[in-house]
Amino acid sequence: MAETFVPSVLIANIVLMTMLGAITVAIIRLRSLFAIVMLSGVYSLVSAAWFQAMDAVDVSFTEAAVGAGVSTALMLGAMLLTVRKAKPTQSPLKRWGPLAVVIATGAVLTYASTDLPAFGDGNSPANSHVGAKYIEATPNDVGTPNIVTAVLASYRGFDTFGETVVVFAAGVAVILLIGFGERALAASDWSGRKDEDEDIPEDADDSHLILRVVAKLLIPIITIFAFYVHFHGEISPGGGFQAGVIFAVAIMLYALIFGLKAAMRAFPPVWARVGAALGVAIYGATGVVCMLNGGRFLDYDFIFGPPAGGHHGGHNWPQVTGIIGVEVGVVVAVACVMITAFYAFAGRVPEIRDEDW
Amino acid sequence: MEFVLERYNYWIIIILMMGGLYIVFESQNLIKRLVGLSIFQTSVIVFYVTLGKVAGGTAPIYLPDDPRMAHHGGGHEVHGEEHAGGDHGDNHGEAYSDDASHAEPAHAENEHATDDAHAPEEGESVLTDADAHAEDVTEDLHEHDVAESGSDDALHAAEATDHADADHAEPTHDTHAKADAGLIQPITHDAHDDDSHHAEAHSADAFVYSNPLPHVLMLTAIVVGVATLSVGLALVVRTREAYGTIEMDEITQADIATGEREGEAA
Repeated sequence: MAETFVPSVLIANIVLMTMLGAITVAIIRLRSLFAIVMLSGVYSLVSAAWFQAMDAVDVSFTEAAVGAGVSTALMLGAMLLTVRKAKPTQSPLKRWGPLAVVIATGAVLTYASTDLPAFGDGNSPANSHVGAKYIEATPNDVGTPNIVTAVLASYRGFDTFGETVVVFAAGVAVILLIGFGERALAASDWSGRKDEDEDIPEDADDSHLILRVVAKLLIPIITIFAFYVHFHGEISPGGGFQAGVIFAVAIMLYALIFGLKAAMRAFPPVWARVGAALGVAIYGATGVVCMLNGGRFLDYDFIFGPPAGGHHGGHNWPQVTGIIGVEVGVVVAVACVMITAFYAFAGRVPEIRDEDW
Repeated sequence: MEFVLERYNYWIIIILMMGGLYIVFESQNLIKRLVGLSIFQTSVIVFYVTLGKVAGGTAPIYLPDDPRMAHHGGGHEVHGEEHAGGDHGDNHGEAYSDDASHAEPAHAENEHATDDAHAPEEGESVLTDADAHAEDVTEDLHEHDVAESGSDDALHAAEATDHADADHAEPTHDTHAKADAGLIQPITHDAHDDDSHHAEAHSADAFVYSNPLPHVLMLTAIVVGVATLSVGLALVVRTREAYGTIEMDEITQADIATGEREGEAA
């Protein structure tokens, strides 16, 4: 096993895994929520680097955008609405009891780990059945170079539909719980048109000048990159999930630097709400088009009508069209749900007492 | 040492998982608990990706010279155009057995030719030339069908070695033919074992990819994870507004106090 590894991969594996362990221990010991949230962002970035070393480029992409980007921003938003410091646990039972349980469970799991397949074993049960089949059959069935996209959007398109619906449902749950930023709208005299009083205080002009200039340069590039990631997703790492998150990050960056009001002017919350539903509808409609043309739900071979023959030659256009179609649904749904959630947290007027700061 | 290397990831994953579990148990702060939950979740993701890693493999995106993809030409415009006629058929198995049968005689004659030459030094230089040429051929494959070029080269090699037997061929031509023959069929020369990746470059087995399935499952799990995390955070914000605290023990105290007041009122 180990002799067929490139040494650099093994070294990267050990170093990055050790860093993950160390960050976890640090998070356990910390009490400052700000530090904890920041460390969890670092944790995500380190694990994204580790995914890269493990050949999971699509996972790495997603983790870097989601973990280090969106979830850190959401946690910071929630933290600003609540408290900044976790209180230490007083009762010794509550400190040492969990430790005993965790050590016992960890010991059992460590004992069980000796029975797991060796790291990198290509013949392990996990790697020798359906995963190997996908690698063999993808060129013939789907014809996209990126096997992950083929499995995600075509072989397991129904799974992915379910996951998109879960993301949508989570967005609905956030709106039901804390609204979609109405408080910010009500608190400001925002009336939908550009008013003269910019929400940037005068004294902030100098200190945030560089941030603002850099952000203005970066945001268009980030947005274009999101679309590149989306439409190139069946060839290179990327796809609808990553593109949606990257697009949402561009809006969040704008909101963080230019203020929520400006961001809501650029991308109104109603677009985000409608878009979240529209994305799921686009995904479902792609499946229904296949049904109307005589196939089964999400059977892309039927997307232009019954397939002419077994062989397509060159690009497998029905499959590519179907994948792009559902990925458009994913990108719209994911981006809009993330933006909705961010608006919901950022738009809620903070009620932090002075002693919590 | 090897045993440790094989298990190291599992042990770190256990540390991550137990660390996340400990935070969820121990911390009374709801936001810290959510961080603990997401560490727990990440440990499962790391576990899946560890299981899907194949030693010596690469990311599950077909390399341009992979014969599996070259036959279908999904990614490369050049391939797509060339295969538009679609006269190569869908059957991989046939194409490769053809390859093998074409290459086999060429290989046999090639060995025969080198036996005739009886010059080991020349043989070595031939091999280095062959490697250099192998690179060129691999690049050419962006434009040529593997099966086609394979059988063509094989025939070419067969002709060339015939010439070599008759001592008519120029040396450069001879090495060229051997290079192609060696590229098609992994041959048994000891020297070639070192450069076996050149010899195997045309066999689908030479392209090792990590398992794509865990990547798919974990990719969507991450996005669903952040969506559910935002629901959790929304609940925390509402809890804070309802109770004025996000410490679990204080919330429990408040609930007990409310219950006692209701009991007194009743």
